[in-house]
Amino acid sequence: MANPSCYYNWSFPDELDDTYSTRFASGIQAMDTSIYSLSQLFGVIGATTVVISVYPPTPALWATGNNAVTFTSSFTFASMSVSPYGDLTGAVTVPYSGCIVRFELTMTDLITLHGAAGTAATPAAYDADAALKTNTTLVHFRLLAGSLNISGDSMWKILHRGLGEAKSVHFTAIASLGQGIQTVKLEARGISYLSLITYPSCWHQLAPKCPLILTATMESI
Amino acid sequence: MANPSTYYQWEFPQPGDDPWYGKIDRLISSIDVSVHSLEALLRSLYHTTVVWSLSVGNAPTFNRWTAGDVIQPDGIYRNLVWVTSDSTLPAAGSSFVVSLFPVGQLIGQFTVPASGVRMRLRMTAPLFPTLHNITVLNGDYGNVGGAGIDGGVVAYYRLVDGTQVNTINMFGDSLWKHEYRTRGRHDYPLFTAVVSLEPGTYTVELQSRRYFFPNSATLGANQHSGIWALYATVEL
Repeated sequence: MANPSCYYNWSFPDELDDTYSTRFASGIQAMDTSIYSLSQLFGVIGATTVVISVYPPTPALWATGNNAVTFTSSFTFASMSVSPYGDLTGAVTVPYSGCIVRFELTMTDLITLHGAAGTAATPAAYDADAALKTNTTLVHFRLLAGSLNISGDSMWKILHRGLGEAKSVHFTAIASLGQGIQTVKLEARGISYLSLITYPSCWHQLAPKCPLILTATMESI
Repeated sequence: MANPSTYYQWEFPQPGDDPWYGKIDRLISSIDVSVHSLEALLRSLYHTTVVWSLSVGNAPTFNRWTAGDVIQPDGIYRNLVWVTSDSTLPAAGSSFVVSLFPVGQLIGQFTVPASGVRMRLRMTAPLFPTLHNITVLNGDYGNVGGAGIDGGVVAYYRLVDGTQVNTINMFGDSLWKHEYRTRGRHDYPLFTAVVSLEPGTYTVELQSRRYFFPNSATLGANQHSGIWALYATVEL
């Protein structure tokens, strides 16, 4: 029979110990600490934090600057700066070192538009323009926690046809992070298979009252 | 107070017991085991296992493939194609295991840690096109694909215990369903199911069947691509 105990090393008096009271108190205190640590875990595991939430009342636009007919992996990512919210950043608190965090990004009714420099084409333009109808835009998203690339550069991606159609997407990534407050940031890069001259600008739109939500859920080790 | 205790059967000394030590020692050991079992369960909850995860192509060229990528049960080389008679919805049980080059069949494992827990299974399949008529894979389906313009596809997916094929169907034959037009569009389905299983390790395989309509006679290969992942999360 184990004394101290098998899993938690609780130590109790041996038979005939003269000072059994002190050792007994120590053993009970150790039990108390062990069980309290479990109660702390119960308060953490499964908890979900809303890291980024955008719910635009009117169409919210953002742009990706890369626009060429041939994609190369050297295209750089830029912050997702959604008007009028600015860069999409947020923070999540990781309660203990090594905690595994599940990130989930949901975007409802995400539309890709094209247009002249600095201006998104109107929906009517898509009906009238053969190039807009038949070409495609590829967008990569990525999630950074500090300098750590959680999603990778090409795992979160969408492909739009050129008709301004809406996409609803859901991305997931799992990461083991250090304890403390982690600042996370959404970035994107895009490539449009359209003429650089005619359509130098690639825009994306979050439809009104359609959310973009990034959540972080704590998972057990 | 019950002695032994009601739920965990912890037994401790009665007044005047002599010797008392043995009972105390057993009591402490019993509490130790009881608490440890709770910790083990707690640490398994909300734990996600990536059952499989794969990325096919990098999409800059629209995931173009040529014949020879995948060997399907019918011996025809295609890319993630399951072949049945067009315009005929295959009966339940006639699904094929989904196979994707170069990964092969989508088979993976997850573990159910304790009796009574539920597993939440989620399959993500972003960048998920259906393409028809393999001769126009690099074109636009709305303008070039001809036969692909008006067609449509219904694809059903199911997850089956691979150790007992067709005996444990995780959620039925028609709940994970995807329907699309055939203009080379891409979609981003997220399928979810919650199942309660006995403790143990399960080997699961993804199966599928599909149905063409209405221009099926003139359609060619049916292709899917992108990043596929299946996650199994332990829940209360």
